Amino acid sequence: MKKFLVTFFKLLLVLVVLSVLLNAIVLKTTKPDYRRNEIENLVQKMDAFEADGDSINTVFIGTSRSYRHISPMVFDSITNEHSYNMAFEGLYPFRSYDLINKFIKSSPRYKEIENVFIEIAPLDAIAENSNNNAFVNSITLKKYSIAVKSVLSRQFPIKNKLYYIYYYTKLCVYKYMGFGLIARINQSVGLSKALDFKDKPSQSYRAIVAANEGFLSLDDEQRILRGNKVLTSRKEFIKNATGILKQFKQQYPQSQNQAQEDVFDRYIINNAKALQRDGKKVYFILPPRQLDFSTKYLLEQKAVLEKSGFTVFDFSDPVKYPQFYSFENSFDKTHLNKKGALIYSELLAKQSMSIN
Amino acid sequence: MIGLFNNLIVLCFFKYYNFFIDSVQSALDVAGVHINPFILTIALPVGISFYTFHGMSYVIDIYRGNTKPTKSIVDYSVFVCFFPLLVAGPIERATHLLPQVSQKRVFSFEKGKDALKQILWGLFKKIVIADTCATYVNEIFANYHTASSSLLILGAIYFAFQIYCDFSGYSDIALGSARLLGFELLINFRYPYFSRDIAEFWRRWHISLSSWFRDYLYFPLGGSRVKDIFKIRNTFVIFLVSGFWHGANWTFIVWGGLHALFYIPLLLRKKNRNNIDIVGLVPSFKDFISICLTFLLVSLAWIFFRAPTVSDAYHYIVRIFSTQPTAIPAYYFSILPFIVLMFAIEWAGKMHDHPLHFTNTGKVWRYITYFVLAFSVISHISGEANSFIYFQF
Repeated sequence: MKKFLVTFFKLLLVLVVLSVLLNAIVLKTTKPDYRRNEIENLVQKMDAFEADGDSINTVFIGTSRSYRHISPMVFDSITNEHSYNMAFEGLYPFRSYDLINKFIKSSPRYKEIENVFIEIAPLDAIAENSNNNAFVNSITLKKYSIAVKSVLSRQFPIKNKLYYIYYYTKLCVYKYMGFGLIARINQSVGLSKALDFKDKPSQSYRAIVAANEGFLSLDDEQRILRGNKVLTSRKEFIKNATGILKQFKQQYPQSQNQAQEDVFDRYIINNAKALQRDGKKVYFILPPRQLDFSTKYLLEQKAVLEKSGFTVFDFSDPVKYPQFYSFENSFDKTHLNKKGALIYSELLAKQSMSIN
Repeated sequence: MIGLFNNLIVLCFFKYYNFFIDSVQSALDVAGVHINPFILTIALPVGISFYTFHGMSYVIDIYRGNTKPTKSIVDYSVFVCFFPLLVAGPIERATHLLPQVSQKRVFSFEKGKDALKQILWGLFKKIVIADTCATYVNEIFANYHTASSSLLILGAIYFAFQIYCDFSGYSDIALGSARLLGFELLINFRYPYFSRDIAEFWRRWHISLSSWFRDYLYFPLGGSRVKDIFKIRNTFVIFLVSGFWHGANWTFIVWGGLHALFYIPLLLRKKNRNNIDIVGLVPSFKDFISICLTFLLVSLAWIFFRAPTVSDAYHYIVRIFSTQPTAIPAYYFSILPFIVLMFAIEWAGKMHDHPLHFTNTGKVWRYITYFVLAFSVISHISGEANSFIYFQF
């Protein structure tokens, strides 16, 4: 048995080393297609953004807390801008900046854009994303280093620190060991399926996001795209809405430590300053309904960004903004419903007007 | 009888209740009688078709005097619920597995090595071939009403590869896992797509199931030592029951019926035992044509196995012959190099229980093969998990 185990682990080590080497060769010699490796509905949004008939001078970028909450039509009616909601589910910071650097900056529309609103969001660590191609393709050794250093320097619960490190290590292992590499090889030799979005669900999705400048509330998704089938997150929220909403208020930090800039803040600031050098005005948004220990950390990030000269629209405080923590305006634990989203968009627009 | 009844009632209740009720309701609807029966909405226990057959074979073998009942509830439980084969077989016999459970097992380095090779081979077939083919098959079968004949033919062929690699891949993983623990399980597949006729195919495909039906149903019915009319009856019974075992759907019954129709001519002409040994390394032209024809017949029957309804399968086949072929998009062929690799390795290794049981190949080539297979598996592991087809049975 001992001989078997020793032989097995030796072979496993050789396999790992050879896989990493072969994978490195493939990664070096093939150019990844950003659009092809992104989630299909986000690609549809990119297409709709480029095909939009009007000039776009403002974009919103972030996770579902921006995608489901910011209506460009409401925003534009108050500010007289022409905006587009490029946020999407799960577009956490690394992928948000990938969207900016790999798509928006190379889009013909980039020169029209004057204002960029970026959501402040925590580092992604959702288990289901750890072997999702979009997340795996996004990770690099540099981003891994930023994530791990940031997590270690923050006062997160130890359990969460370990989970973050495990999650980002898993993403790196997936990428650098070659998991899912065949998709990249097939793309580079022209053997992958073109995205045509001709099926009915894709066409329905495209129509609705194009009509709403990229915005799609969860109510509309449930009603129009899912045939009124109640989403699981909604069902779970309704079971304990009072408790959940009360918890947000109880967990909101009453005070915070002096914010120290960390390597992740620096990453965000560098990306924002690059946009500013291109003549864009950059604003940050801290949306409501953050989870658990994230709020404190995001408030610290907000303080660092403000110290660096950026404007941050902070809607996270349940005392200042009770309307974003009320049942009437909620869809599920972390999202507003359409009514709440329209109120949110209006408030964002008015605050934006007041500083310009 | 009580033992058999217990096993069958559990199987029938969970697996076939809704099918019978639906069929009765449809028949009554045709007669103008409308009923609103109670439909079960409970989950089918995983692997029920397999472990109920373990239980039945134990009872029958004791009745026949082939084995003695075990006094150990633990040994019996291991026999019925041995985890590597619990969800998708092979269907073990008490006479084969129980003695292994009760005796002491010693770890063997050589068997351990061989087990890992077989597991690797199973993973390659499942993750690289079966899962990739599945994405194309699902796309083609979901859109068969607009697909051209060339795409439909490709869909049928890919499904043949998918189901073989999925099921035999699982069997290889199960056999390899069991061998690591010191158990030798029944071999379930012996390169069925190299068969020269349908009879040979059924000696090589899902061997544990076909031999179970042969020993516990076909032989008691008289087997082939009866008049021709009864031979035909017995053959139909076996294949229809085998189809029905796969699922509570008329498609599986039609699939079984088709195989019966393919088999009976060989049986009546006494040609069903013509091809006992596996085809040689360099096949004759006749053998090559026979292999191709057998594969086409099997793939045709697989259309019924895969399609959601008999009507869909029928229309799928009609479209193959009634639509013009068109160029197939290149991405459908991305899996071809791996399929060719798989068949090349199987062809070279078909004299052995699994093709990675290399005996005459140099060490360097062996390790290159292992690395290519392992890296293929790694590179095909994506974010989406695909369950084994036979888990649903």
